[in-house]
Amino acid sequence: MKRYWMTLLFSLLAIGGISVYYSMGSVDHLPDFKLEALEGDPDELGAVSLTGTYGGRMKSEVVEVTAAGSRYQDRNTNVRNQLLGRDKWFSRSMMFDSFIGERRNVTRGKKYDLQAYINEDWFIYAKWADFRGDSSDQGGTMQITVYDRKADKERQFEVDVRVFPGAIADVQKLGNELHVVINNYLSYYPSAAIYDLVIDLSSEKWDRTDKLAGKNELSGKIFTRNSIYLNEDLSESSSAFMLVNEAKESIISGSIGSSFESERLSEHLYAYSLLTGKKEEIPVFYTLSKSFDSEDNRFKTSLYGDTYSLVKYSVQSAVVSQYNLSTKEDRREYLKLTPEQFGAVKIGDAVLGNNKIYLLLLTKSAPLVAVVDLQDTTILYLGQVAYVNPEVAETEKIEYLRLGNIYVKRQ
Amino acid sequence: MNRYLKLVHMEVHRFRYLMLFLMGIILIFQVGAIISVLSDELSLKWENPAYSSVRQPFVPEGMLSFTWVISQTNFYFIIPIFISIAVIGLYIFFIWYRDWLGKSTFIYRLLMLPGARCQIYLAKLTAILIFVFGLVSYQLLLLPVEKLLFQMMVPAEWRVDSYWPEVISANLALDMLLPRNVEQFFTIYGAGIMAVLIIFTAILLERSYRRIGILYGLLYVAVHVMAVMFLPDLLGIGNPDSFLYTDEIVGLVFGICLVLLMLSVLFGFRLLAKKITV
Repeated sequence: MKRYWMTLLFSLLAIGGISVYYSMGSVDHLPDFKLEALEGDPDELGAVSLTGTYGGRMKSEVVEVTAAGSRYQDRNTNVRNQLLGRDKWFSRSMMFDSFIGERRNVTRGKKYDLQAYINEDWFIYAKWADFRGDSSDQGGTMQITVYDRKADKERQFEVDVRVFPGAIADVQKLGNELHVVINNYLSYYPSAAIYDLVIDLSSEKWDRTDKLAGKNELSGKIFTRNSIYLNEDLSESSSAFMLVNEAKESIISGSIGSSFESERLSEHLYAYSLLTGKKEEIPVFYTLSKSFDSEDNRFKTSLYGDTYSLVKYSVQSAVVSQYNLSTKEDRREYLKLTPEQFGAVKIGDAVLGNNKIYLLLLTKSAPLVAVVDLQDTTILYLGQVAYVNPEVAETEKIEYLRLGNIYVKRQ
Repeated sequence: MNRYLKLVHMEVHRFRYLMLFLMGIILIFQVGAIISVLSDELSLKWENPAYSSVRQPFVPEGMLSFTWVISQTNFYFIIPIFISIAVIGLYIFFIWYRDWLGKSTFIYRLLMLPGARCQIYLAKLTAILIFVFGLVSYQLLLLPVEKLLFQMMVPAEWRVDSYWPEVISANLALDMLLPRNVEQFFTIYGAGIMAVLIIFTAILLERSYRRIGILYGLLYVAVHVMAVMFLPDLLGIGNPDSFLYTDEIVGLVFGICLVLLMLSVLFGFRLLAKKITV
């Protein structure tokens, strides 16, 4: 036994050192946080997460805080989580996520929320089954899956369409009609021709194609850049609108087909009704111009049902305007929110979603979160970030928590 | 079992001087760098107590922490760690070839020993694991010693305390060797063990079939690398139209890695038992 002492020593060192470190020494002692309600309904925070950093160490740690608790990025970094995170972009909707959890066999191979329509009654998914070629007149075959959630019945059919099989940008159900919006990107061009492909769900046939925006013809150094803004509302009756943005730009340097720099010459925002196929321009005030976007003044927009909302915000205030696409009612700058009215010093970030505004408010100590209803302007929720274990306040400082972004998942 | 342990001891014994040499250069590089960095900083501080080269947003102005010292000595920590990785990387090949090289081919004596030949394979694998984890643990043991040195050199009124994960993440090489997440530790060292087993099998292929064996060995390594690297993409990870869900793909990839690992071991055993003759 005596002659084996070195082998024994190396073996004990190998096992002991690592075991002791991971059982005792690897605890990072970083404080955990959660969002605590000061007033209002805590359920309002189900879709909200705040991101930023926690200092107090030589290197700041990236942290995400929700009502359920906090999550430090480095603490959870591993190969498995990195691989699992590759599907994060598939879905931005909580309802779609929970449906995938419940009905894995129905959604198998159908996981991209832009190609899905979902509400309490239906799950409909559109995907290309066959591409016939590059020529737009040849079209392709689209596979449609219709799942009746209440009856637990699924049917699948294929539809031949004479539209170039571009990227599916949105799917909406209006009565017996299924509207599939196609973003037809052209080779080397920075924008797309946009089509609304209408399929009759009873006859399971392609009915018609409406054009939302034309091709982006290039004339000299001028070209158009088209894009769409989707409706957040999932209810069938009020999801008939989407927005189409058409901008004219001029190339300053470089050329299309390689890298280039351009400046915006003009911009128009249109409300497109899937129901009537009509496109109407909305007031220039709501145009998503970058003219008022700077380091100090930022803006966010949202389309929820018939209502288009715009918030312009800085550290001092957030000013909300709303335009009703059906009634044309214009509530310009009707709501002004300041950090002082919530007992805060600065607005850190603002986001619109679910016809509400979510504000991240910075104070001299722990950050606050406010949720305000955009329809009747009532405060639905006010909450503050707090330690999960209040005793850590003796050794840590809440000032080390620097949250800068608020993110809200679609319901 | 007794014979296996004796074989492990034999392999460790053969590597002992190299292991002590690696431990020595780790100690000299790291302790030397810490003393040098602290001496420079402290000599300036003694001259002018208001002086501080430490620019940290959250640590009180002018205070020194062990984490700061480790971040300032990054290069001198990385050099001996990379030398150790390179030496063990080369020894993965040498642990087999040294038995065939030299005046008396030691492998013939090993292969003629009574008992299963797979014990030779397992002993070599165990020895490599002892070297790797022994050096990682030695580094872990060295850190408190280095912290003690820091505390001895820096007066108490000029220093603030640090947590171990913070110290480790301040150094690129330590952060790579000792990930904060224990699952990541098992994943990267599991992948390392898999790589060692694949190389062992490739070496045995070469030893079994000689010239053409080199090609077999290279092909064997290439197929495994391709399988592991491209399997997630082949199964459709990151594609919303793929038949499998991401968690199913991840489970399959980990399962297939485990199967490949076991197949490498069994194939290695078979080559050693049936193909390599005395």
